[in-house]
Parts: sequence; structure tokens; C-alpha cells
Amino acid sequence: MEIILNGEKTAIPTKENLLQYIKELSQQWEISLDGAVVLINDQIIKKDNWKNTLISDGDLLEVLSFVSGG
Amino acid sequence: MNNKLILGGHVFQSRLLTGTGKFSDKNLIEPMLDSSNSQIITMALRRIDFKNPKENILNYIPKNVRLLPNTSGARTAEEAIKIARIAREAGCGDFIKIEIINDMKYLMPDNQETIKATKVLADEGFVVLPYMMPDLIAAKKLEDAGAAAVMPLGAPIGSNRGLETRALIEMLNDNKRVPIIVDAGIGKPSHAAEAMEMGCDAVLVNTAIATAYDPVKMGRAFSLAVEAGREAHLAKMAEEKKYASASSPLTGFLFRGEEK
Repeated sequence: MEIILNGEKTAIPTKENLLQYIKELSQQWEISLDGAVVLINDQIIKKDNWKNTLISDGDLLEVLSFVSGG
Repeated sequence: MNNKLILGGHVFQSRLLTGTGKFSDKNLIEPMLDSSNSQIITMALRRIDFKNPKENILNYIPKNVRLLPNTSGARTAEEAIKIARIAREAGCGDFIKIEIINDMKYLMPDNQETIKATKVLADEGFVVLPYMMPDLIAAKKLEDAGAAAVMPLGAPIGSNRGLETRALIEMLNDNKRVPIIVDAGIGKPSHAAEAMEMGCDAVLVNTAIATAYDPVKMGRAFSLAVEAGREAHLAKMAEEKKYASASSPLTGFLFRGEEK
């Protein structure tokens, strides 16, 4: 299935939960996503709920982080 | 007169707000906070670029420092409101610096959209610190909308040119109901001291500290300047005069004949 990840069409395995997917992204890009802020369809998903959140076809997934700024 | 900065009921000893942008080494942020005594620091929220990820800035900020996430990147009130809500839900606390910009050449803030966002977010319980173009009417509307402070720019962001808008900031300052924090344009400690001497309540300094050769030392320099300026304001400055006014007696000079 296909989702929009940070504005880009991305193929992901069906029935994957958010925690699994974030782990995969973390491994694939070799980055820590421990402090990431995650939204699905404009709703923030608290880290405790990543495990029991399923990603659906067409979801808008935003993976954000706090960065330097003035 | 109360000599502490109060924002949304929170009391701060320091009147110097700082930012996390543009440091060549993020490990300098913590010692800079120490040297400057700054108790409030800004940061931004962005999509993670997986190909070129940036480090999570929160890992570099000590726990006792108040986080002031900004809404940079927002072009409308609606976008700023979204960013603010995400930042709060992500655990950054209630403070938010509203920054709504469409003009990419001068980075001038959109006052109208900023007023709209301030109203919504203040009603939701945020401590709203709006970055704005110093305009008296807009400042009054921001106060009416529930802003905890008003943050006029001194000069364009990152320009280090000082208080180019001084006359306009003076109007805001003379009519304020909430603290005035000069944000943007302050390039050196003397600019910060000038803002404080005028009676502004605080300054927000990022570029001038972060891009100095020694940001830790510059943090202390700004801290001293802000304190000096504040003390001078409280001491009420002597008036300017066109002609000289001798500081020593003008009688009893030595080596002169008898006065006629």
C-alpha cells in the first residue's frame, strides 16, 4: 500500500503498525527517531500509542523533530 | 517597581531570551545558557529529512530552561495554530512564539495573521509571544487578543543592524499593557542595552550570540548589557542638553588675577 510520508508518496507493507514502521525508518536511514513527533492525518500520536496504531492505505504520515531555530 | 520579567504568570530573573539557531556546535548552547543566565530559549519544528537528518535540539537544552518553540515556516494563522498545538502536545509546554512570514527577502512578519493566531492560541491557554512589525495599533490588538508579551522587531532577522525601528518601538513601549520584548535585529550588546534603557522589558537574541567567534563569552556580554540597560532605565537617565554644563565649579580658578 501507499502512504504520504512527509509529503512524499511512499510504499509500505500492509497492516504495519506505527512502532514497526518507525523502527524500520530508523534502521533504513540510520537515525534515532526516539524524540520524533508523529502525526497521522493531522492527529498527533503519542509515543505510547505507536504500538497499537495501524497505518492505513493513503494515510498522511508526518514525522517531525525539534530543530535549531530563533 | 517590580524588577522581574513576568510572562503569563511565570516569573523570570533574566531579561535575555536566546535562540538555538545557527550555532556551529550545538554543544555550545548549554554553556551559553550558563554564561548568559538566559532562562528562555527558542527552537523550531520541522519535518525530518531522512536523507539529511538534523539532531533533535531538545537533547542540547538543560531541563531547567523554558522552551519557547516558534511557528517558523507558518505562512498563515491556521498553519501557526497547527504548529503551536503540535509543539504543546509533543511536550514543549505552553509557551509559543508566533512567527508568521510570507516575505522571504526581509522576513517581515504578517501582523494581521499574527493577531488572528494570537487570539485562538491565547484562548486555548497558551502563553503567546507574537513576533511582530512594530505598529501601535497592531500591538494593541495583540494585547486585546491575549498576548503575554509583544515582540517587535528592531531590524530584519539576522541582520544585526540594531534598533532601526526605535521610534516605533518607543510608541509601543509608552502605551504597553504587557511586556515588550525586542526580537530580531539586535547585533551587539550595545543594541540590547539601548532597548533596555528605553524601557523595553526584555530582548531576544539569537544570531548575534550564536554566530559570534565565542558564543559563550558573547552570551555573558549580552547578559551584562541587558542588566546595565535595565538598571539605567530604573535609575532614570539624566536629560540630554544642547550646550555644555560644567561638572566642576566655574569659580575659584587657580593662577588667575582677581576677578573684576
